[in-house]
Amino acid sequence: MGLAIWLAKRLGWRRLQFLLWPIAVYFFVCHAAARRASRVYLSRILRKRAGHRQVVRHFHTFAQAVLDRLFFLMAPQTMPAVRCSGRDAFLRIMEQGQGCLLLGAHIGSFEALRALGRDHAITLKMLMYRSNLGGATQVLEALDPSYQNTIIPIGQPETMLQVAESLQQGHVIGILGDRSPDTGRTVTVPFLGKDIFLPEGPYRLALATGVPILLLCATRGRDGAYEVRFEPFNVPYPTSRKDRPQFVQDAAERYARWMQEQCAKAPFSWFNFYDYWKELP
Amino acid sequence: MNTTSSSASQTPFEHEVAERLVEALQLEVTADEIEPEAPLFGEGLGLDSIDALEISLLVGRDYGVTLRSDNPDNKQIFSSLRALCQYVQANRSSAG
Repeated sequence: MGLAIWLAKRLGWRRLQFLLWPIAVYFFVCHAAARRASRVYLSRILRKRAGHRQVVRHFHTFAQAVLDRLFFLMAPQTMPAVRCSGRDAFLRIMEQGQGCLLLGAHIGSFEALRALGRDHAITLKMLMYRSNLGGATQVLEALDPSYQNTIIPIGQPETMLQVAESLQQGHVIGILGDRSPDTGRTVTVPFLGKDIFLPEGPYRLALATGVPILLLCATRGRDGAYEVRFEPFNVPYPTSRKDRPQFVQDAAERYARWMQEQCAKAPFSWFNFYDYWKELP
Repeated sequence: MNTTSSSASQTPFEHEVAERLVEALQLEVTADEIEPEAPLFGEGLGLDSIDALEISLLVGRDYGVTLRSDNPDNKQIFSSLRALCQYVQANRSSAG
């Protein structure tokens, strides 16, 4: 990743596009576990056994998304304007000044939202595990130390107090809800025909703070412009604490259905290159 | 599991807070079973950060004590039922 930044500065960002196919082939050849995971997922979403070319395309789409993510954060003015659907629901919540949880997945580039933030003076903070940040984020922090102010790391008892305080200031909290940590409470829901574990956190956090959840997904179109799709969550919050576990289950099922719909729209833009269904030897 | 000796060691205030925690967090233990000095998070009672937020809402509502994320004493405050109660008693408003 450090090499990518160096090349970007030497060659210009746009020229890096040509490196994406060699990078995709490299991952295909050298990362057997990711290759197997990709094939399992693609075979499920495409409903037929995925071939080598499709797996390489999957890696290419991921490499493109990583590059785009750097663009959105480092040079957003150079990105094509994003297309947006369902934005009204988001703006209505923003006008009320109460903040909200934007719930996404490892699909496309969540950072495309920052292109919208420019127009609407939105403060977005990502709630994430420090250990999950990955190489791209480390490089971003090295380039722009203020980037870490946009992340709330999970892991301390007071983390969610910080989230609640941020929401009270009308901030938007971004969460990617498709990966569950090894520790922590999870629920079991079906996804693409087989059960997965999803974290309970986003739904319990919504109940504790009372703020609405909006679903968000942004994927790259053929012309390079991102399409940002907001969707209301539409699972009513229970009034009694006794009904909370059922809400969490219903909410996680709703989320998994939404994720499946997004995968159907952009099958190569789902980026969980590991044994997602815990079924590989 | 020893469930008889712990209740004796809870102060009345600790017992009151423990009962409210059990209700608010829908815990699967009784208030009597919460050891006053056992860790609330991780091992111990197994609470997480969202539970900490619920606790802060509870003590804010019931005792007028505000817990903030930037309090340097958070590690101590959330370390056990006893530490939490001591902080609440030291900081509660007279109306609480």
